[in-house]
Amino acid sequence: MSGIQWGLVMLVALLVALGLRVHIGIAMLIAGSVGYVSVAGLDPLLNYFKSAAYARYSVYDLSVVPLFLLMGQFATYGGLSRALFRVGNALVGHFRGGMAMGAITACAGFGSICGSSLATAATMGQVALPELRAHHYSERFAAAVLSAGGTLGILIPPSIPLVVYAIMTEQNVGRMFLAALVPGILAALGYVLVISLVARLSPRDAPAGESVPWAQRIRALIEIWPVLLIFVVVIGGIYSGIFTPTEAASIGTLATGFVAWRSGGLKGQGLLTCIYGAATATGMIFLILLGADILNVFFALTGLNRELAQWVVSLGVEPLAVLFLIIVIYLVLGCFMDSLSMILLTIPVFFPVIMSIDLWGLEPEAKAIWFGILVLMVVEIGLITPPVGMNVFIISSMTRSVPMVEIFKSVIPFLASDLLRIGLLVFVPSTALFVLKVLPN
Amino acid sequence: MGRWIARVCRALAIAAGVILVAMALMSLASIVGRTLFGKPITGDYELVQMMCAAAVSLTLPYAHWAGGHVIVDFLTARASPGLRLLLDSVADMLMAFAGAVMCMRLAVGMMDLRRNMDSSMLLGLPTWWGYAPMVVSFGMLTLTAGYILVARIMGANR
Repeated sequence: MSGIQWGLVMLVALLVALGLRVHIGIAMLIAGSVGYVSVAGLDPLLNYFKSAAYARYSVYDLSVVPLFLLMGQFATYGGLSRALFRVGNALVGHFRGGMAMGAITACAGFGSICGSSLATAATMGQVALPELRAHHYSERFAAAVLSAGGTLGILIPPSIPLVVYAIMTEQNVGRMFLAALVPGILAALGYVLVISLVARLSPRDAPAGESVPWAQRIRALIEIWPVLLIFVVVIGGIYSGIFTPTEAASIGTLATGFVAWRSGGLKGQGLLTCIYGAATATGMIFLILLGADILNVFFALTGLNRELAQWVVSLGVEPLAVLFLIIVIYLVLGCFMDSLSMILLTIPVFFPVIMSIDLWGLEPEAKAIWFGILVLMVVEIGLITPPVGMNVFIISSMTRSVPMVEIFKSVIPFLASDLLRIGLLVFVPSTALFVLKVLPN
Repeated sequence: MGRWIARVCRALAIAAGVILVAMALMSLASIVGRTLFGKPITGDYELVQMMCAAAVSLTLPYAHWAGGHVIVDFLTARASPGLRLLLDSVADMLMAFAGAVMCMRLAVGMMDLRRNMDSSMLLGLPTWWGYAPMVVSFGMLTLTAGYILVARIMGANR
């Protein structure tokens, strides 16, 4: 068999192994290894294994991943979520459905110092669900708001999937974060709009709130100054080039840790819980990274991704059709795969395809960044769609006896807003890219 | 036995946390040195690479112990408990096997570097130091996966 054929065989074997409950990272590692041995022999593989894991784990830029994960844990235990929810409420609480809008605002704020959606959903859910319940929001709508709000954790930078994408495609992490900013804010605005519509059409789900005096608003804002400061230092520092991403993440982690310590969140088991939480997420991500690395070395050896890209170009299909096909594949995969595994598995195949077709005449760098933001938004949808919507699972475990189906139904309007935003980004790439033009490096 | 596995996994995770915080403090010191005194810490880049490799690999056994390594369980969610047990046992075996191979190959790589006295560019640190925690991590990952496999099968028989 030729290399390409081996590549296809192992791809199928990989998908079968994934379906049969093999851990995602291990399935990639083994499929890649078996393929490598078939094409190049056992000795080169054993030789490669002597340094593969160290080479993968000692990448300077990747060190931001464990740092951001620890920072997210500190943010969770630092009482910041409660303060953010108070601010959200003080600012927009007086509208119809105001408290739900406040929860979205708080999720966005939390997302600005946390790069993970599950952590954002879990943390904000704990704070906001009881309050929404107490203020007569319907349980299913409150759950839907927080499931959708949780996705802001990765949509608003820092964002761990975006770091991984940037490293895989050799893009600048700072520029990727900056490009994600406006689409992330649009996501939050879209959700707020959805809430306001639902509050009008179905007041039983989302009642009106009370107005808050300005003095109280300002007091609430002052309380979250650490969040603002950390966000500005981390994102601003990375982009302006004052810090490397690792340095910025280090400062962010230490500062958030300090805030958590001051608030008493690290007392007793607190610190250990933070470390264990960060360790679990880190281990999960890095096992998949290692597997993906070996799989991709094998794919590169067979030339499968290059051939596929050439084949797509030779078909002469409308570039937008190719893009839509890729988006559909992500939406389908997202129904039962975790977002990071999806990016690691598909980017080596899809990225060369995207780079070899002409989309809106974008320059290579702009196209790479734009596609990254697009992928981020599309995989994020997988977190709130059935059958496996992790955010919905987490929130539903906190609610009282609301059937999962009911929550998924209430999530539909938020999904609609996601799809509209993806459409906007597809047809108007400057939604993400104009910030980079306004602020040249 | 299970208690000891859990203890070691937790200890390694805590070690990872300590290394990570130390790495962050070192980056901070380097920034302060650079802005205030015009000289960063020599070799901070190398240290981050080495510490990062140690920290992330040390989390692998704990993540497995805590059930953190993800699987796709959508297709088999409605399978019979017996079939799921079989599949999960095979997955444990593959995890243990992959961990063992990685551990042994990294150990060989480490010995090679040690013999060649390979050292880092700026600080002259022996490169094999970076490998040592990884050998331990993958070794422990293998033990953990093996223990989970045995416990799973024995639990099913009871």
